[in-house]
Amino acid sequence: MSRQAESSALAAAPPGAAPARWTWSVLAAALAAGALLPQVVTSTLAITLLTQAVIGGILATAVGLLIRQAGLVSFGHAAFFGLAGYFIALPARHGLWPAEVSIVLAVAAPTLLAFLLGLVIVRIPGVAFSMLTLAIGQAFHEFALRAREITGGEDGFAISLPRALYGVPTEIFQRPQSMFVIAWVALVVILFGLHLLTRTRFGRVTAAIRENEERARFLGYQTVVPRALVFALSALIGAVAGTLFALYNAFVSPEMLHWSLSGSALIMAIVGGTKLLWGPALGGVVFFFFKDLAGDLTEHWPAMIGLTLIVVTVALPLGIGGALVRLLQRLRPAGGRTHG
Amino acid sequence: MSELLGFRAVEAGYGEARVLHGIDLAVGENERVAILGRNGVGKSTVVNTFLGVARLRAGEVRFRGAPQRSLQHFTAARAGVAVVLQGRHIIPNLTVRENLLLGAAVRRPGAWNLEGVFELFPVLRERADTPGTALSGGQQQMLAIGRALMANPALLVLDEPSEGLAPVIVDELAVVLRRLADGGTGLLLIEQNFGLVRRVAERYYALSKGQIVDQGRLADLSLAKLKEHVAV
Repeated sequence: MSRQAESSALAAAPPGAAPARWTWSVLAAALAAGALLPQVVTSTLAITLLTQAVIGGILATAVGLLIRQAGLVSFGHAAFFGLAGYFIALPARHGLWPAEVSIVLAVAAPTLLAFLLGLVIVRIPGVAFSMLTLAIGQAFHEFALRAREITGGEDGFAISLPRALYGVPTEIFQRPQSMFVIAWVALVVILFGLHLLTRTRFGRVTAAIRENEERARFLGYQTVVPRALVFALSALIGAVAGTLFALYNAFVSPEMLHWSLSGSALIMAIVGGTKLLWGPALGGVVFFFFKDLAGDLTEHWPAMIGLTLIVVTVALPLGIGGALVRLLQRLRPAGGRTHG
Repeated sequence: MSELLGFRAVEAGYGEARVLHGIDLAVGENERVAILGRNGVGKSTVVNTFLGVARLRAGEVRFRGAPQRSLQHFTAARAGVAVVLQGRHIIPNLTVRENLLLGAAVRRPGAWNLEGVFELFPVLRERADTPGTALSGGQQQMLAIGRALMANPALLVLDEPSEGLAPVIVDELAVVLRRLADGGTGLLLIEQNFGLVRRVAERYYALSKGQIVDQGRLADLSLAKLKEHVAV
């Protein structure tokens, strides 16, 4: 199979028809696995790491979606992640409105902001787009750092959450065992939703715009709004990750907005494979466990991550997820296509 | 017969370079028209002008008799003019079916739908879930035509559709284009393959150095003169 055909097999999904039975089976199995895992994994350290990995995986999914569906690389997704945190933290600090409202705003406001920004910046392709996202992300980071009276500056501050959120005891969001399940369900629902989205007209149009914007325009499509919508959807997913992170840690700081977090999310997406919807999430899990392992071995663990990124990029251009799919295809030569 | 596409004294080109000099042409409803000319005389620039890729410097482009103040990429599609560009431009990471569905960007009423295209090109049904770029050249041309038909165009413009195709496939293409024309779709064929032109078109414009140097009915054009117009 040629590289292009292989990429297509990884990326495309048959459109129009209702999801196949296997899709529902995978969804049910994934949800069940998430519910069972905390029962099986008894180590609090391991479950804490898994919770962080899943939240990181959601952020990586946001970055990966933008690459997969719009061909755009963001260096600034920490902005949406961090803004979500501050949208929960600041109203709670100043007693502006109930925390439940803040949580809705924490997801909605970064999404709206991304859509409005997207209408301008998605017109600019390639590296320039990446640099703009970096600049926007760093602008928010700088503001959080310098506006000490509002944001607590570099120190950040603890979020004073009520005893219950939407009738659920707040401690549920802060215990690794239960937060893992919440984050896992969020990740699975996001991936399933994106899987369905790729099968719609919107999914086809955005894929066509990514591949050949001029051709899509000749066919009669406006191309800016769909790309801005993909950017906004990607920001929404990043904001969900930020919301979960803020609820779990009950703490915000400018680190949540820093470009290094955007960079880590991008590394997770690349390591996992951006041709697959679930690749970046897999990359997130691999990233966190590898970081933990490398951190035990040496204090220079970032160098090991950098080295791993180089190896993966060269040896596995479709990422670990892509390599797994390839392996499965080789083991089952008569098998059907693999769905993203 | 109402005019679908019209050029009035069109001057157009790229940057500072002018390629078309005072072009007048018209394609009416259900007409089959060919634009003939050697390489580099400006045939594709005619298409690029009404697609807004080449810059219109003087004159007027009309869709359905209405002068266009601003030519955007999508103006033609929305006016019912679908274009099959040279090189086919199949979207690589989409299947045949997905490529076809993309063609329905402009939802004009009409008979063409996925089933209709599959009936016209049965091979596309067989390969519906195959990546579009995994098809042969001839099949890709069918896919490009099928995708254009999904918009139910009043006028189908084909830029060098026979390019790179085996003679037997070109014969098939001629049959398909005749069927489309018989079904009421207007055709504007930009082509150097004189065999295809003779089998499909009823009227022609011959271009040389960005100007129309001859026009008329194909039936009145001798084979020698036709070959002269399209000689490379």
